[in-house]
Amino acid sequence: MSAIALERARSWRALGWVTWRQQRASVGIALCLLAGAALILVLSGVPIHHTAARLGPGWWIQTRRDGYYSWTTGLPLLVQAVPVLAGAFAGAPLLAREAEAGTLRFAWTQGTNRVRLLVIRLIFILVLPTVAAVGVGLLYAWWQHPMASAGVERSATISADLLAPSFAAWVLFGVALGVLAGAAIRQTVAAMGATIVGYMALMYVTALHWRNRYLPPLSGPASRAGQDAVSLNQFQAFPGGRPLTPSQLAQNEHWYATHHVLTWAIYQPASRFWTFQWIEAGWLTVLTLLLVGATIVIIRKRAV
Amino acid sequence: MTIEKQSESALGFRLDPGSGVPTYLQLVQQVEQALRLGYLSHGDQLPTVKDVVETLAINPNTVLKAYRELEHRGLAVGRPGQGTFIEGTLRHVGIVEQNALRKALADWLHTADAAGLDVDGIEALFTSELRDFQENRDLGRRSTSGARTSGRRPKQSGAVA
Amino acid sequence: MNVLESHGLGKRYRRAWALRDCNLAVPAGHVVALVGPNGAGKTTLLHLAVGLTRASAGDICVLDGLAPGSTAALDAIGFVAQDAPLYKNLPVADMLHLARNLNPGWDDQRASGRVADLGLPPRKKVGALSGGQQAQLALTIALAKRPRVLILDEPLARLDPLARHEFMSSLMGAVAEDGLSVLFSSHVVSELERVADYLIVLNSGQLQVSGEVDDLLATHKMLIGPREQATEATAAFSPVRINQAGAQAQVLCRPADRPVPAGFSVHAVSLEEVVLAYLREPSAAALPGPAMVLR
Repeated sequence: MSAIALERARSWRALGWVTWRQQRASVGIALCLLAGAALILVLSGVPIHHTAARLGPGWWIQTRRDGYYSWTTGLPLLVQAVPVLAGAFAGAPLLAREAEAGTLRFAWTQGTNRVRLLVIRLIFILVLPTVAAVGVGLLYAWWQHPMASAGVERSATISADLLAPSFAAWVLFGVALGVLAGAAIRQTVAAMGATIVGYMALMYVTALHWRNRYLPPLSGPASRAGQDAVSLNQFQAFPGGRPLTPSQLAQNEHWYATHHVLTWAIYQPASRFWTFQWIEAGWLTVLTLLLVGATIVIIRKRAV
Repeated sequence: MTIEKQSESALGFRLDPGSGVPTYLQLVQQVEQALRLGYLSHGDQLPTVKDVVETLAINPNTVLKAYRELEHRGLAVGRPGQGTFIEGTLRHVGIVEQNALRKALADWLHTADAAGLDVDGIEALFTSELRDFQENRDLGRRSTSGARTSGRRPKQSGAVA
Repeated sequence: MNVLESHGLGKRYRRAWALRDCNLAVPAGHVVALVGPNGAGKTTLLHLAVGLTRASAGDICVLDGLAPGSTAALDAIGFVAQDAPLYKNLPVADMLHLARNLNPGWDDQRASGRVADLGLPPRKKVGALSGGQQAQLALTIALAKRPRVLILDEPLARLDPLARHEFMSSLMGAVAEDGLSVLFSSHVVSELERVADYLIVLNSGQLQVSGEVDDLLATHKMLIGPREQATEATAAFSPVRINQAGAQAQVLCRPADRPVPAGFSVHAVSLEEVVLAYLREPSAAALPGPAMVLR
């Protein structure tokens, strides 16, 4: 049997061929989505850079009047759709379509362990798009550079997940969620739907609640927070932070001045921005590993 | 119109699924018939098991059983690695014996006719008795002790169906 | 050696038992037919044997002690699932290449030889082949890994008569050449007698018959006689089914060597008659006793 053992050792390459041959469409879809995102960024980013170079630091104020605003902030939303689309169209059909077509009954009765097959497939479908996503994330950083240097407040809630660490992690998560959905729900369309719903739910919760609370927020005068800080709450307060009561808020300007009322902010300073990026990327990666583990458990146990 | 060549060997088998005769016996009978008619002679090779099985889509064990039966009857011999070849010949029954048998048969037919049996009844009776006879003879041949087995079932006196 | 052995095997999906209390000892070197109506549990049993499903009760092993789904079992068993699933968008040559990469013991010469004999164009997509050709391709792939046993789930179901004959010819030829054991399921009984030499009958998840075809045909007889006496006269013969028509009754039973009651005639039966009788009488069974279970 040692000849067969040798064969198995070499078979990772053979399995790679098999997986690539079968999966190149799915991986292709994911890569196309990312390429599309890259294209959007390049096509919109080049004019922005030119304008910024031409008009100098005040370019943002000037072009805002001309209606430039809407599509430069709207476009990134399209890019945001990439991870969930990759998950639904590349991740979910991976196992679900084979379950529907019955070809799992073929693949899992050949001489190769089914977990091994899955691992190889996951390597293709997770690694390649994630690497591409890192590229798109860097491209996005380039894209938004002129806006940052023009002093546009970074609405970090929306753009934070498009930068390299967290964008790649969201793509990773999206595809892994799709694969798990396909393994658990053996129907392509239903799995795609579940992926979209699950992804949106997590994105919603993260964006609205968690993203700015990875570390306890600082509290202090708004002026100290700085322009790039993410403000969670702002209110009028006395020096020291005690907020004004509703009746006090109704006082006039003179009263405000004598009591040294200032704008108080609960905020995350700009310095924490990158820390938060890596925290988000980190927990998403851990979640992805859990999803992959769950997928392996499911395919080992369930009937086909 | 295409003429299909079954195999290189001298005999092509066919099956009659409705005849009630076991498949292996049909093969044996066709070999014997071919011998009788001169299509096969001493030294000819019978089709390989694989060829027969691919033509008729039957279980290989059936063909093996048929060839074993032919060996048992002394008509063929299997040579390992080469195939199965015709050996022996069918026993010929002499003319005198054949006439005596023919007369006995005619007498029996008269008796049956007098008893009220019609042609179909005669045929049914004969066929079933012949089948029993064949089975018992095969059982008798196969018994390891060599003594004649009492494989005959008690005969019924009821009406033939 | 036993190709398949099970004790008390059962499989439950949610609340319904698809297969219950199944005790089998199927010997090697046979062509085994697994018959039963749709939903009888045939596919479940085959899936349990190849490791696609796990048992809910009892145990099952293949080829003298291998666990279904283990690497050794996967290598030794060639399986073709219902409807011969293959990757429809791949060309024939790529499909073979894929199968070769998945199976360490692949005999490439045999595979390409068979494909050439069958006349399958290597560049044509699998999905564009006819049903018969796809079934033959699936069989080729199963044979090319040089298995010790072939397990086929309703291989003839979607094939036209010519394709059916050609598939069976191929299969029997392979059995003659390699001495393979074959286990195939079918819900068409009429063509089994030519091919099968071991029979398993499943009905509503229960095992009804399990034995060599020669034995079954030798022990089962049709007794025909007067209707009024039929039941009591044949009571000792393990009657399977009594069919009454006019003044006559036909009793399928196992008389063994006992004397036939007066007024009754004995007739041999075909395999189809035996199977149909058992399928119509779910409570009857012809199973080997504990002493006959082979180890």
